[in-house]
Amino acid sequence: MSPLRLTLRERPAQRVDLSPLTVDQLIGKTLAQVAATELPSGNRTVRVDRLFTLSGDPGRELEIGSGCDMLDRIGAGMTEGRVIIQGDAGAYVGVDMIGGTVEVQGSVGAYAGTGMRGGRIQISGNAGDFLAGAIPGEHRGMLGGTVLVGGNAGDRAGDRLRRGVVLIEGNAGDYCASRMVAGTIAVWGGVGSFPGLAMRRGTLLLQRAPEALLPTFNDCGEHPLNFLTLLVRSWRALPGKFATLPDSGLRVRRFMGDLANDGRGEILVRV
Amino acid sequence: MSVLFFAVSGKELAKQLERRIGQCVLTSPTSAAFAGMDQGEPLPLGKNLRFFGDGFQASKLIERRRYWRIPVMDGEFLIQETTDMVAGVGGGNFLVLAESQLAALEACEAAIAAMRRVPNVIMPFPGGVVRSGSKVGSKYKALAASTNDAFCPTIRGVTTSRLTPEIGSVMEIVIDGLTPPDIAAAMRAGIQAVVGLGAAKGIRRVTAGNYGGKLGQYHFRLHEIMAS
Repeated sequence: MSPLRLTLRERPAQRVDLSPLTVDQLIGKTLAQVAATELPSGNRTVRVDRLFTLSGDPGRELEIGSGCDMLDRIGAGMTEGRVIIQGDAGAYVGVDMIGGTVEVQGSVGAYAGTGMRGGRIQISGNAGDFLAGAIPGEHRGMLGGTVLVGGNAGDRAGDRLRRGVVLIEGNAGDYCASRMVAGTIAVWGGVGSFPGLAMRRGTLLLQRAPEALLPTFNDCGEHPLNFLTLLVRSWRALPGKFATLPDSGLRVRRFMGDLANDGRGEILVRV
Repeated sequence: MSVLFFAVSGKELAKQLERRIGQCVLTSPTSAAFAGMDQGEPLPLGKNLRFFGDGFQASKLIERRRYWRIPVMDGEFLIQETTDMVAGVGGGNFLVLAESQLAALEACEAAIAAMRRVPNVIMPFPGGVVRSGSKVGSKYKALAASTNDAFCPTIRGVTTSRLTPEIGSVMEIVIDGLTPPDIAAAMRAGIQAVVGLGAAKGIRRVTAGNYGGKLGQYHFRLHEIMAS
């Protein structure tokens, strides 16, 4: 049994919502039923087989060939299985995801991982703004699980992040970890200006000092923090650079803030 | 370092665990405390101790386990939120009957050294050796246990003594363990160490406080243990 493979016929003119195509909803369906599934697109719906050519069998794995930035909400609410996107994906990748894995071999749009509670999103390319951040009107961004970004992330990564781990191997934009409630964000490259704006709790781990730090973050000095050993060990099985961090001898400079908003968050800069 | 805690009830264990971790581990420089078991009923470990942080404590969820980071004067005290409790076996024991106090103590210390190499058991008393073995009941109503007069050498003439004339001193080793086979393995190791010293070192007998079979649901028969 080969995995179900959807190959985009051409770039759609309108954005398309792929949330009806999660593994949970595909299991038990025939290829014909999948082909007839209607996908929301603007104020209309469009059949799957109008957008994609289909092959393989619906099961625990879904491949989307020639992905494109117009395909939104891939893996929305999924609880199990694996989705592989060969190419880019649009906004809201893995929104409200509970389990399983989404692998994007290109870049993704805004709000990837928002509302996510478990599972893993793995992005080889770049992520747009508000990675794992809260959509307007929501009080929480990501609520659990793991997001890995091989490239760069846009502005406001981890906005209102509540729980879970976000690992960015490239650079992160401005206001990284803004309004963060708890959880962990680690950035291997640089971060833009004013990380941790209005951060309440949680950890932002940086490999190098930010360009500009808010005056509402206070320097607490350099320390070897024991919990980093456990944290780094928990990344050992993950793909990418963070698995290579040493689990002993890590020293960080600790900045606590944002003192304008509870002030129990921390920006840890590796020294 | 790993530590096994035993108590007479789950409620008492929870109370003692927090008190002793708070007084002995939290206070020790460079220490951290983690759950050693991941099955059983969860018991608060750092769940309440975190308040020592006076609002500066922070939690971190790593691989579905929650840890608390409590700022202390030497850095941070890292402690897991909960540990687990399972039903164990308490009070396995054997008695070493010797010609003198010194002979009994030397034999017991040799036994403890051997028993400490056995996993999943503790010898809960200081140094592992008990000189005040007890019997069930007392002439005083308020006491549930009292001195084991049958093994007290200085009153052998006025009680129903179990001691023969050459016995000058008796000491006991008590064992708590996770399972009956763990206790049996420790008893075997200890008794072998005692027997190894033998009569030349003043050791005359090894027996156990069986309390007429009235105490506890587990019976460890020394002959069966040594034969297995």
